[in-house]
Amino acid sequence: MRCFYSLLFKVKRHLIEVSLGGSWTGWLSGLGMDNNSKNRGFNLLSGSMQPPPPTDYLGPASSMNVPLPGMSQLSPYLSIDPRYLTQDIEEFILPTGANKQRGRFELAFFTIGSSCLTGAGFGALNGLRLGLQETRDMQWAKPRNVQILNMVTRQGAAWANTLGSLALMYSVFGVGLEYVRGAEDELNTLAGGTCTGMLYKSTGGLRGLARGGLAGLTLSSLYAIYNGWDRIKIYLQRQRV
Amino acid sequence: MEEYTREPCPWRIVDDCGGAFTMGAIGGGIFQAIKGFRNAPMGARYRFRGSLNAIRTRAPQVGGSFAVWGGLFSTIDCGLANVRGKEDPWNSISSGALTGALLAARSGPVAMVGSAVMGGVLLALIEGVGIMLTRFTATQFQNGPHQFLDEPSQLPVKDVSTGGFGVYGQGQYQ
Repeated sequence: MRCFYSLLFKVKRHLIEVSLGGSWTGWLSGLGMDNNSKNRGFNLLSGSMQPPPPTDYLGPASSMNVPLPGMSQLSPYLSIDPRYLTQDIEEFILPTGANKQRGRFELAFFTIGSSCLTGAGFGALNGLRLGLQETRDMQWAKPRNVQILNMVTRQGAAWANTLGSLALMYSVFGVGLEYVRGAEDELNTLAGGTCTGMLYKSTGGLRGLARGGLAGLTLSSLYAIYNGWDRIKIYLQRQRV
Repeated sequence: MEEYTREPCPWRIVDDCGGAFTMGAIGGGIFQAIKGFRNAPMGARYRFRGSLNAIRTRAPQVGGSFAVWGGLFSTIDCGLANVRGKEDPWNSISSGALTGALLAARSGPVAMVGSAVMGGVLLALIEGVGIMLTRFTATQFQNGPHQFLDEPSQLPVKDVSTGGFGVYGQGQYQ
């Protein structure tokens, strides 16, 4: 159940896209379909990409010659400045007593297990390749099959163990950092990846340490960029506007 | 952590695999650290180095074999749940036995039976402890009629209608 836990309760108020474009039609559609999490694309298209001129419809309030900032073009019944309603943070509906975020601990076992299984799969493929390569000049008979099979199982186990222990180290570092810092963000990812690389290559002296740390930092920053691509995109759009 | 529920079925395999790997790697790491420390030559430096080497080489292997156990167990568990259409302790027990049998398949039928019995008994113990714990915690929250009986104002009521009230309260929380 934990896998779909966040998805189920993740009801975004689609005001983020709207706040970028600053258009009132987008805000209206965001208001109307507040709790519907499927209208994201609609909002993006109609809301922030083509903002209509905001002085299109001058409501009855404008006849009073009172300049009201941010309202009065929308509806006479709306007495709130919509800018106060726009919130840039994601909002979640959570069951009582639940954490705001799924921490790293809840994801750790899944991470470790998936990297273990991935390693087993890739290792088996690699073992098949190596076995076929090594026994190329043997005739197709039982000894060759046995040798290939041995290669497959050995390589699969080795890769699964390596990737699994890497993921275990990363998870332990991540959970520890989250616990120590009391916060969960990209810094944990980067620091966890770097520490993992350093620990994994710690037998190779200082040079190995630096190389492993660099590799871990690169991989984890790639992952962080991939993971936070939505936020980066929003940030870039905001910079442009 | 505070509300640990298990994943839905296909993902449970991955989750159990990871949990078993973690358990095996950490437990095996501790075990191998002690073993490497004891087996190394004299001198603190050698001992710690031997300990570290043992952890580095053996802990992932122990974790890997645990992960195989966990993944296979969970796969069979999910398959049984899918075939039988229900999830109960018998699923876990029989999948534990089947996992033990499958993993000992290369050692011959006698070893298969022995390890199947081992797996089944182990899982039965775990499930039994789980059921006992559930029963125990359920009785903690049982608020039957005894609350009312102790209260002085309720005492005459108890004398009048002992049968109906008591039976109702006992039957509700069993």
